Amino acid sequence: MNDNDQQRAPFDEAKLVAGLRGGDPRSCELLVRTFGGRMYAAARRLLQHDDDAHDCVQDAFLRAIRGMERFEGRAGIGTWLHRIVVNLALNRLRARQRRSEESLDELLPVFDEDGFRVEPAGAAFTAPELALERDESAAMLDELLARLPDGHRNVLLLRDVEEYSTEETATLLETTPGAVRVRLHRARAALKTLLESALAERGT
Amino acid sequence: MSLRRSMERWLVRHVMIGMRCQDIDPHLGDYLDGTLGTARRLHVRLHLVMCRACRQYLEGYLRGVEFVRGTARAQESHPPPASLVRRVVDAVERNQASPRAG
Repeated sequence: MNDNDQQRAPFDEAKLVAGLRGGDPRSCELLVRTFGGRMYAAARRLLQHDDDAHDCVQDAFLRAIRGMERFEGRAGIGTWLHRIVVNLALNRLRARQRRSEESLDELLPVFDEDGFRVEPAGAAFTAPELALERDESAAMLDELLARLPDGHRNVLLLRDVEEYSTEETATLLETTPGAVRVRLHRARAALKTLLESALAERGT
Repeated sequence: MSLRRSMERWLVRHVMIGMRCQDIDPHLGDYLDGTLGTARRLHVRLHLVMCRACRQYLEGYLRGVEFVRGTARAQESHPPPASLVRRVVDAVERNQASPRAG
């Protein structure tokens, strides 16, 4: 995340923070234009809903700007903002009426009676087959994520996309590191099955 | 079943006890993430040397992780929707005019 901050910060962060603390509208717009894309993408992936993601990002910016006095600059401002939006998105998910979690079992690896892996016919895909158009990949990712149960999707996103550690992810999700590790592995395994099946349907 | 697969099975059954694919599978994620202890890491590595099915499986598993990561990164490089920028800037202005609102 810090790398992303640096890539996205072609401005003087101290000056930006001073502008925000002084209520400068141009600083506010610069902040949103610079970091809003990544925050929106993260909120949308977690919430699986455009309108909720808009609300969540707006809320995150309002809280951040109101709390700008508390920003100490130890992490980059982008990392700080990102943490706020992820926390808010997870709070929204908790507040939603919980759906019963669908089982992932049919998407997990299969073993024979001796414990040896059963290789599904034609399942493996090769790297060139993943050379999809950018929009196509994005649409496919949205579809695959939507098919994972919330609890597994959240772990996958926080660990593999947002790059939080197992311990940080456990704290954010109010669970244990052991549960995070198990869910991450199952989510990745399910995603592998879903991706291979999507690519096979697409005819690659 | 190929001769190679038969030999893999024989080795796992009689020499590498407790290292069936099913025993190894739950540890593959931690193996990739580098968070396994030394003994368990060695177990997984030995199994992978012997078992082509698990090596292939792990390659696909890793490609799935890379697909998610790469696609998500590409999504993040998009600018925020213009409507979102306007909406946030307006909300911040309203909030600053009336600090209790929002």
